[in-house]
Amino acid sequence: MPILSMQGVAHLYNKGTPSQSKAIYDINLDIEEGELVGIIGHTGSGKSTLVQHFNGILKPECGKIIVDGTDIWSSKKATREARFKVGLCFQYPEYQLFEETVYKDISFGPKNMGLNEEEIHKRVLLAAEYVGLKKELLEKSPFDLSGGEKRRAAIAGVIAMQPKVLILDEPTAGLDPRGRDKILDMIKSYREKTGSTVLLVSHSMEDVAKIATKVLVMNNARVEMYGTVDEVYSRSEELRNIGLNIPQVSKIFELLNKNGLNLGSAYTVEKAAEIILSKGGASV
Amino acid sequence: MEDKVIIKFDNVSFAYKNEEDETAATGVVDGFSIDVPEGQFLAVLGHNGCGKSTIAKLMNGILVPDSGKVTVDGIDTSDDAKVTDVRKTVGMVFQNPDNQIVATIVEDDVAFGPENLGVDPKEIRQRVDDALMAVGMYDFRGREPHRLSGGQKQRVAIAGVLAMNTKCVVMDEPTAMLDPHGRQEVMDTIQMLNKERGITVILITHYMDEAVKADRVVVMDEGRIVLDGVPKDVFKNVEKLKTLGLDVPQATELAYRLRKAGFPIADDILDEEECAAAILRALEVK
Amino acid sequence: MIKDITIGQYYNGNSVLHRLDARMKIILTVAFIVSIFICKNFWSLGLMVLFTLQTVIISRVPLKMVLKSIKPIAIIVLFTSVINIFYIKGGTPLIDGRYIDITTNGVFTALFMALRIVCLVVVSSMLTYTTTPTMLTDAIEKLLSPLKIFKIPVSTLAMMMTLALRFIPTLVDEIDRITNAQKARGANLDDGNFIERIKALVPIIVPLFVSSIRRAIELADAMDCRCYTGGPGRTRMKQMKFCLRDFIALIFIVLFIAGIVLLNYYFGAVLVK
Repeated sequence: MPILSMQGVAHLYNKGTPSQSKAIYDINLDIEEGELVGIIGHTGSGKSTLVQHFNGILKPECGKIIVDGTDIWSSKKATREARFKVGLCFQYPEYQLFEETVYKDISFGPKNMGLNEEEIHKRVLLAAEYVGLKKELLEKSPFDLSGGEKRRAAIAGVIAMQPKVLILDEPTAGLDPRGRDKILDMIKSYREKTGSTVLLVSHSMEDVAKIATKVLVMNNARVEMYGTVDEVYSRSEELRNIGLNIPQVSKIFELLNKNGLNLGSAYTVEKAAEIILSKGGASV
Repeated sequence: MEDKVIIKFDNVSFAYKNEEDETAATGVVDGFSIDVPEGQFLAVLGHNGCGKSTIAKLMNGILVPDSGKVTVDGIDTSDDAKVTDVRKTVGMVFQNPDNQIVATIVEDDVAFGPENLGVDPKEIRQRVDDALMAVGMYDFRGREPHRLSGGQKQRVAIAGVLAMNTKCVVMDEPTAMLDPHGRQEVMDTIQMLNKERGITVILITHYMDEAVKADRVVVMDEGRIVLDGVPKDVFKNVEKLKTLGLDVPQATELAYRLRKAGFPIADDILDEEECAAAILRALEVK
Repeated sequence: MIKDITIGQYYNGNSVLHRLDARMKIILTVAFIVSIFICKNFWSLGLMVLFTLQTVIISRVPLKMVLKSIKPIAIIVLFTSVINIFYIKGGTPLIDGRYIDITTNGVFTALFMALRIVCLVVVSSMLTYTTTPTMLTDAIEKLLSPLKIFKIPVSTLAMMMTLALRFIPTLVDEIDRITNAQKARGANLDDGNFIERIKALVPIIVPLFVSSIRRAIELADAMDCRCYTGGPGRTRMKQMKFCLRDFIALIFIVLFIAGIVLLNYYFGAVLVK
């Protein structure tokens, strides 16, 4: 049974006004438990709208959204449960911090779930550990943290709800390479440790290639492709047509293959180096 | 002939003053010297907190040095009486496009700078139209800024600087909040300013793919310059850049990895064509 | 999306009304509002309605948008009318029941009130439909500039107004984003009593304040960089100049007010003391 499922889902912008338009439509999608799905597509393709449906922040015009076997709009209770089963971390999540201390801020979600103090305490510490926040930072004001730390504290606030599915909307936006790598490593290890499903919305085909197991491509309000990294990235011509740029190494490989080499494909620098060395290794 | 220096930093140091906050150690500048010749496209790279944004603010007198001297077109930026002249010479574009647009209509925003300078209304009109055409936003002149995309907003901000007839534009991470499409728009505009209008551009960034397009790259760490040169020379230092928390282009990294494993390939590769050609050559030699 | 709200509800057009000087439009609107309240009989009232309709026609703003501006006040108008009908006494009785008394004075007052409010709203919305917020703030700045001699910082106030207009959509958007982020963490904003609801707003208000302050600091730097000093010596790209059509418009409104006064005089008051 898939952990997330959408059946015939559509959502409209500005409903009932002359500027009404389809934000997403005709979405049929099954996501299996434990996957790390990279969601790519250019701005306005509907990827942010799509993910906001999984935890019931947005209500679809039609269709069904099933999380862990339950239709999230079947009852008020189901809708509220979806909030906690699917943890959604928005873009620039540091702008949601509001408490006096980092600890209190991370505990906001668990508190809303109605958990007891002891359980909340456990979850806060665990979440802080997952995102790599040092214990002494927990008693600080969130506004005294550095940019990268704020981002991780905010993500911890979502992880502390211990959702079955974690969705991150462009978690690395605006960070420098070091901050970006920290977040990506954190996501990878979080998934390995907890076995939860992770959805990662990103503009970076390179980042997605590095950590995702599956890739979902949104285009013009619809799911254009969904498959493994290999399946999706090998359709480079189609990707280019919808305004997405494959990683530079993949372009290098295309050029090499065009020139008569038969190297297959690579989407990360590590893989590319490995393949080339296996070909040219003999001469060294 | 020696190029004319437009911005000069002479052993500049600066630290933010904040008694309570121990994290104030970030963003300090420590004995920084540089000459920026007129017409150059300079990229300043560095991780967050390395002092690169402080450098930007020192360039037009938003901040003045604790010690040392910054001169813009021969004017000392710490001279309060001449601060307008400094800002007339060096314009600034910031990271967040929303927080630098002041008017409710695109063309009124572009007019803001020249209006403050007391330029004649007829000339303002001309400068505004010219600036908007240069950045390709003329058709949007009657629009409300909040309805534009991030890349379009940044182009409006750039037009606002152009309309002040500045010789030099400092951009503090202008693409950090944009999507790839918006980044491309802004980069195209920046290159146009530099190549077609001869405007000196100082681009503060942590995207290496933007820095490779510059004439010169300066890499900063802890308020000092650690690398300075043309992109090809700077990006050779893959290891050093990585320890500084920076990226190199994938083509450069691939070449670096291959070289390290003994594969015969040059160390100054920046783009994919170069890289593919070099690999082909190496494999054929075999 | 909330982002699509229109501030100042400007309707892009090029009618005579659009081209009138914003200062003159403000003066005319004020003059019209005053004249609304001196109408005493159906003749002058009719002239007022005619004038309103004519304004709408020459503005070329679609009727649908004009009706939209009346919609929010329709209930208030209806409510006050009903109250007036039942509670104003005097004149000829129309219905003389045990519990309900309706007199001509009541009906006329209700009718007067309704028409006055509707005309007032329509004409003032004509001002905002045909004038951009920037023009409006500029005009207010110019009209208030005599206050400078009392050391009132008129240009600074006008700048503040412009910035407020500029940032309302940005902040509305931000509230939307923060609200969604807190909802995603299970914040319950829709249930609970008054105190609980106020408390539930803290997670939205605090981040909004923090980010507004950050925006303000960045904006101040950006304005500094563009040589804003708030002092004298500033010029404006869009110059305001009174031209012939402004004076013609002025003559129109003077004739209109004179017409109302004359009609009042000839036909007398309709309400009986």
